Amino acid sequence: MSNNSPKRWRITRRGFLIGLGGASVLTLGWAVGLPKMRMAISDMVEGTEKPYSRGAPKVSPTVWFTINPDNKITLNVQKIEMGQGILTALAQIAADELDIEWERIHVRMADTGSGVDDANGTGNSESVVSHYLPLRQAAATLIVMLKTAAASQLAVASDSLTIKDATITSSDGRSLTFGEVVAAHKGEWVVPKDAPALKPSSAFRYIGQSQARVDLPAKVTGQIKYGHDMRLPNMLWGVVARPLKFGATIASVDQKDAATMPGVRTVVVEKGFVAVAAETKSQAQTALNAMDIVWTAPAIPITQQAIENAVTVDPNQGVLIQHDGDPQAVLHYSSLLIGQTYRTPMAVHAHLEPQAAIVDVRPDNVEAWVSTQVPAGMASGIAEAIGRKANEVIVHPVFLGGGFGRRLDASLGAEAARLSAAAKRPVMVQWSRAEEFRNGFVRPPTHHVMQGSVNEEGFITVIAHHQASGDVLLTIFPAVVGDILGWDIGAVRGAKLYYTATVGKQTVAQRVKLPIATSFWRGLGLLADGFAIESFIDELAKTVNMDPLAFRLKNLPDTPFGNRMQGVLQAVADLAKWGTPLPAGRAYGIACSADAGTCVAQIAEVSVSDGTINVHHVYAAVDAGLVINPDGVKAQTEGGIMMGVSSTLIEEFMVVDGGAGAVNFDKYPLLRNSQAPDISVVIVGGGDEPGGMGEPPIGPVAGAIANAVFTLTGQRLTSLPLRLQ
Amino acid sequence: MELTINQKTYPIPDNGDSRPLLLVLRDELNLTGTKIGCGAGICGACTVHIDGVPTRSCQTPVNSVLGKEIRTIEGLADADGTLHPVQQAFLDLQVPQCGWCMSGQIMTAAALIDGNATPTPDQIITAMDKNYCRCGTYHRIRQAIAHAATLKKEATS
Repeated sequence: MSNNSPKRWRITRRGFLIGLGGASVLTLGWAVGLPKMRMAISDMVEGTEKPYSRGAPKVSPTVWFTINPDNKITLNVQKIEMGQGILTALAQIAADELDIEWERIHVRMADTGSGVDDANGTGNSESVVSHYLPLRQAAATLIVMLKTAAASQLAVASDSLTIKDATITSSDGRSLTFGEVVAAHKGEWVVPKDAPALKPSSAFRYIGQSQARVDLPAKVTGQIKYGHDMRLPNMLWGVVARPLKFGATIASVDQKDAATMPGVRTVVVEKGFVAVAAETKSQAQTALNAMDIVWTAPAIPITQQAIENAVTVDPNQGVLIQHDGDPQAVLHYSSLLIGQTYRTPMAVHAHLEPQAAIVDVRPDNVEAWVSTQVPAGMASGIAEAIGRKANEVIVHPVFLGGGFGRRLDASLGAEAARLSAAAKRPVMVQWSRAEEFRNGFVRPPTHHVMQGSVNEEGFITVIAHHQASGDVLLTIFPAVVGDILGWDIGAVRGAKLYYTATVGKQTVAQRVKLPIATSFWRGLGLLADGFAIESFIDELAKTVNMDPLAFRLKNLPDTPFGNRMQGVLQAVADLAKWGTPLPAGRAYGIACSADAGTCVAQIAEVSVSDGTINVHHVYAAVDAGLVINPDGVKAQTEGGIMMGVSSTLIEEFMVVDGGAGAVNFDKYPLLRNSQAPDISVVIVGGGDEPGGMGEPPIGPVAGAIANAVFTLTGQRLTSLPLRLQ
Repeated sequence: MELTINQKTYPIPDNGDSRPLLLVLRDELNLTGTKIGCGAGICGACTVHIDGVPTRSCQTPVNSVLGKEIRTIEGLADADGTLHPVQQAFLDLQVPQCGWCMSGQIMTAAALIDGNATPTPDQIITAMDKNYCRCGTYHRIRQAIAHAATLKKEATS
């Protein structure tokens, strides 16, 4: 593969004119700036409504568009396609502002050497949100530059030119394609200082249309290449020694005759890292198995019970992260006060493509193909592992067989890099399913205490949420960051109370440091917090015998945000015909949540048979502001719901004997087709700004199902997965 | 040793072992359209056809399929590129998200449609119940298979 790679473009930070072989190619764009760490920390401090949203990419010159002489136009983005349809959505935005035919736009995932540096990676439901305006501005600027160049080439005034479908035409009927203008251009390209006016939304051709996904034809024919599918000529296969127990470290290694076994090319034994590279994977595994590796157990045994005990709300701990009114009044309010505790377990991502990395360490540079959501972070991680400079490492993004936050871990490429540096050949390291279970990180367990009261008019007077959780975001930062902040803004995603309280409300976040790695998982705290808050809202409604829908509508604030929440609640109620009788043995439950600028409400239709909870149908209403691709929004809603149903009904990751309680899907099953509900989605709202879609729909699922189970059975289930008593 | 895959013959080394067909396809023959998910026959990502029968290639010793017709996702469409009705239906309904499980889903569904032109909703669920999709496209998979049956009927009428 590397032998066939095209000659790398020379990127200049000042200029925009890039040569590729003999042909002239124009590239233009703005990069996402600021070092990852600094930005994330600053956003953690300022993050409120949109937790640590990074907002718009910072402007600095690099490459977003490539125009070839044959008038092919390519959008280069460093966002990773992992099923969310991001390549299609960004292509829609770009093609619309360029005002070109859909067939003309191509989109590719840019490698870390291309200049499209995106330190944020792909996650946090922010790809469309963060790129919408900068991408349009870049496209509009490109048009101005092309028009200026064309005017010069045609010797006419720029404002006499008209543009349609990537062709510029003068008033006397002569025309040049974008590609011809670029090919004929001499000298430096001049970028206008001011961003030009953007086209009015009334003229959108693609934004708001359900454009077919650009990546799907290759996905139904098996042609698309994921990280696990990558192969290089002369490639070795690497395997890495990993502990069977949490917290175990390597005490001693006897290599035996591993280095001389058939096919073995390299054995690496360094502090904390033992690995083998061989001509075949089975040869590498056989050699690793032949070695005598002694692991030390952690000083304090890690048990499931100890983790649950640690993740338990302590009224004397935590940081006040939201308060409205007098917090003391909230804590000491006694009239009709009710309380409830909720608990959610650890969960794995279960991305069906096990992660994989190929790294080729060469004297001149390093190339890597890694299944990652964070190519830039991966480049840094690889460079650090082998003592190279980050700009010597090129990480090529690959399609991902699911991400769900697991592939925000930047440590993957370092293993293959260390083996490749030793073997002086490209090395592929693929994780097994058992390794994914044993040695990945998991969704943190949570515990919630909800307290509140309602007056006789049906208004919430006080409401309080105290959440204890393992770390999410702090896992990837130096320990000092967590010590300074004292709470984890990722863990509390969705924890703040969006209902109004006449006396006061508050949210407390209690950070729990756990001895096993917990971190990003789709929606972060959103699933757990939605389960706790939305279950409790139904319990509050019941104290005054109010309909759960009416109670929510009444207690949401009369603000633009509150009105959007009311809008999705009313829309989903209309969709599901809330209030009309259901067949015997069926019940509805309702819930809502907001995240990443998007409001979602859902109604779950549930039955119970032989002690099993069946979810037949989930109705959803989504207000994601400006929608780029309606079918994409529906697909993300469906996906979030299904993952949420799986967590609500089935999934629970446990520590057993100090290690993973499951190493495959036999003991950690996922939702199957026969358990999967039908789903109906309605999109409401609108406006000029898009909201995020990758995670918000997972927020209400568990609460909606639990509320339906209560209506059906009278059992208020307060732990996930839901189990009937 | 030889394998017949998608009507082509592939010589493979006789290692005297019973290594899984899946690893031969992916790691030796570079036919990576067939995916690995669990390696334990649970998730269905590795499903191929052996003499038309949907089979978990991760649980299939390579020496058990010598002389049999193996079909993978790469060989499901016609030689002229015309997609199998299931592939077309999965495109029409925009089913795949990440796509990793889709080769297995499509091969399983294709075997169903090829053997039963008018599957009932229950038959569709039963046939597809052992193929995981973590992205949660189950609802669309069910709709797409019903649609595929219609496409196939139209194509043959």
